Amino acid sequence: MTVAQLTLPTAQVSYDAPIEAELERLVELFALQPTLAAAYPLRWLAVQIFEGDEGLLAEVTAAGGPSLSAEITASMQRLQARYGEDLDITLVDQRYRFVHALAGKVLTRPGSVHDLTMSDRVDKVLTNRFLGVPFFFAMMWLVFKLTTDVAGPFVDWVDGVINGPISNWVIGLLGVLGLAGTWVESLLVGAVLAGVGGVLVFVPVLFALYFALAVLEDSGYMARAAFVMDRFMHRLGLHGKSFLPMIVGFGCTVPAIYATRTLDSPRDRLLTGLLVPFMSCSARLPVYVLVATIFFPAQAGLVIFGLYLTGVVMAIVIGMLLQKTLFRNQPPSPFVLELPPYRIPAWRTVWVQMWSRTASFVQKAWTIIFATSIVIWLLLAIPVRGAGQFAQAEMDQSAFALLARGVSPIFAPLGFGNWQSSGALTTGFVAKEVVVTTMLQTYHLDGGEAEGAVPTTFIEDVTGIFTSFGTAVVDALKVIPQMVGLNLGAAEDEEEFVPEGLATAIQANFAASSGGHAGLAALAFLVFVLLYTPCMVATAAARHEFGPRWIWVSIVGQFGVAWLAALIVFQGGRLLGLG
Amino acid sequence: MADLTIALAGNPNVGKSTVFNALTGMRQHVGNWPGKTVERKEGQLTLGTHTATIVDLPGTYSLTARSLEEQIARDFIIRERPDAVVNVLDVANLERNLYLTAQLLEMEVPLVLVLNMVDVADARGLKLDQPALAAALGVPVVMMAASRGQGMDELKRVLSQLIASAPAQARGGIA
Amino acid sequence: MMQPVQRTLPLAMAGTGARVRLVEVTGNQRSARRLAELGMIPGSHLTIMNDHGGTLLIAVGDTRLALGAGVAHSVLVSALD
Repeated sequence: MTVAQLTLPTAQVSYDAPIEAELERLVELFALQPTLAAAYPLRWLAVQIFEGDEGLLAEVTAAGGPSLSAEITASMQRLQARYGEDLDITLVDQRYRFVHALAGKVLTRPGSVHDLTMSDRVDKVLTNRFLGVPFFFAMMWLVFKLTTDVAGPFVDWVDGVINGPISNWVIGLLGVLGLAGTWVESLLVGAVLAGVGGVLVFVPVLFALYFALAVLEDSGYMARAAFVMDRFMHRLGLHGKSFLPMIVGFGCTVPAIYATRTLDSPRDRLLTGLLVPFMSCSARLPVYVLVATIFFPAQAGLVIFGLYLTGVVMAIVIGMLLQKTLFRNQPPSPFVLELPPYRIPAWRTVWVQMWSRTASFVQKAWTIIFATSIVIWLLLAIPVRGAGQFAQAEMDQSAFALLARGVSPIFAPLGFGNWQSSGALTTGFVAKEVVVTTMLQTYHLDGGEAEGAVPTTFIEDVTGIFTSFGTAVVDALKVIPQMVGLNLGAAEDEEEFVPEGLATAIQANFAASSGGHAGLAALAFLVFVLLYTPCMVATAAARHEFGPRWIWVSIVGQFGVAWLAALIVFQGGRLLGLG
Repeated sequence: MADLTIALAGNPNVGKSTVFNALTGMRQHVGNWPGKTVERKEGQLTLGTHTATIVDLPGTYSLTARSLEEQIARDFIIRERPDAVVNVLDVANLERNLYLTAQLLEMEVPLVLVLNMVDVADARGLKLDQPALAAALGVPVVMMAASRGQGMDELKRVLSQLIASAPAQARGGIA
Repeated sequence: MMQPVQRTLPLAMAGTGARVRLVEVTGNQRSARRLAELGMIPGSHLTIMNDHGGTLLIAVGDTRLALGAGVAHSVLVSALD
């Protein structure tokens, strides 16, 4: 049994006699300075000074004046004469000797330290020079499937519950209060519930993503991914470590920008931070899903995957350009990364990470999304032309339509110069997840959504919530065998969750704004959504990390890149006679 | 109101966050270090009549302030003077992990060593002489397999004993 | 300098499977120090486990490290035995 006491450890690293002598000398001198003696363990302080800690050296010099400074310099010079310039490496070396001797005393191993461990054998396969990259892409594909197909049924469930039973209850309650059909109902259902739904719909996607990231990290694979991708990242002027923020960027640009903090040099952090937004964040996914299922129902999955790939390719191109221009003369910092042994993830850790990261996103996002929903609702409710009353305005006569129409000529050459699209893109600067919300809101009225087909009772609603959750679980489970290539025949035909009226309205609108090339315009719209300026929160994060100057490069630069890319897709496609 | 502060220190990838989660349960708060964008996690642990705040320091290989994480960890130990530092180590990679311990010894703080991943070490046939290590360094040593929850009670017991034996000692030097 | 009489070569040239002794880390002092803290001190033994297009996976004691091509060129080693 260990005997525990709140006393200091008895052991101390002992260095070579000449170093110990100089340490002792400095400790005596430091002890004469009350400010130092009160604030620091003095031997530790002396060691830090020998290791070249400039901050502490400045503090000591400030406390002890030039005479102490001279003494320190003299000590250092005596040691450097003996051990060479790299005194800090000598100290590391001697500390390791102490540790080596200690480990030799307390640890016995059956074989040699050079024996291959289980983890090394796994690495022979997973990081193999031929298999490593394909395996990495297979893992990324799995993560991608997890965040789309497995999370999908739950997204639909959340959506269904909010637009079905909960909306009904709110409407019913307002009926009782005599507010049915008033602007209050419109505000609560059209803005408040839509806003809440906009955030909650994200939760299953983020949960799945953070689950995947936590498993990859905790199992040790994430570091292998960095190793395998290092050569590739080198071409972007970065190294394998930058891959981590990039992967996080598929979830959310905000934590990805903060994740650049783990990189070693300011140059790597900035360059990675500029490329991260090209990794399509999960908030853009609902837009892809909505538009792709409307315009390319048969190839929706392929289109979406293609978009993700396009983002990566753009990052490569931009990375190479930046390296040859703004970052000329700045080589990447050296790549050194520990590969921890593979292990089964600790499920509790995975769970805590999933939970806390998702919660922190929701906390950050909900105010913004909520506020935007209400602002958009207000703009939609205010009639600027015609004879509509407040909250009764015809959609295309609202203040929102007026504003969006002002912006829409910018998008005319791209084929989606209709006010609904430009309106949705504008609100998308606030948060990408409101692009879909705005589209739904703007199309809502023309969509002529059928009133709840059959009136339901409260009990039916409640049981419906649970049974539909059960269905979602079953659907999600059915997807899992498919991810590894098994097809159990079920979950085959994608459930059409886009309301009929909405699909035709959007199609008609894109056809009109593109002169009949609705498909191309939709593709250009998707590419634009993929590449354009990240959301306000991400921009704020980037400003915090890299300073205001780089933000403009990012905002204006990305808008330009997106505009050009969408132009190429739309006009190029037309020239080639596609769509 | 917490009356004690305990810091968790260790290399990256040694299961430190698993130990942290097990000690604090869901009673934790995730924020940022002041003015920094490095995540700061802290939580509460009840030990008998005391409440301890557990601060999870960033995982580092060294404490020489060459990176932001190292600087945060080092400054916390030196300037905030926690009542104890729990150093989590991977037994299956003892030597490199003890390097950080060597630096912690120099910082003159009450120290508890948690030798995590004993299950992995066992599987490799590594044998650790726990009493010898405890005696050589003069610190309590707890063997643990955090992912299986083994050793957690022992750690709590050691921490309670630490607190009971000498409260408010070695708490000078608060800047 | 009292350099021992031995032939050194960059770690990058040693080849997969080679077991070598670290002689010195040239170039950047900061990265030399970081490597030292991870156990890559002069005299330590390294095994090259894998080479992925110039990025190396090496073993130093129980630690496995990924080293970029640049770092691998800055580490000078000598053959064991």
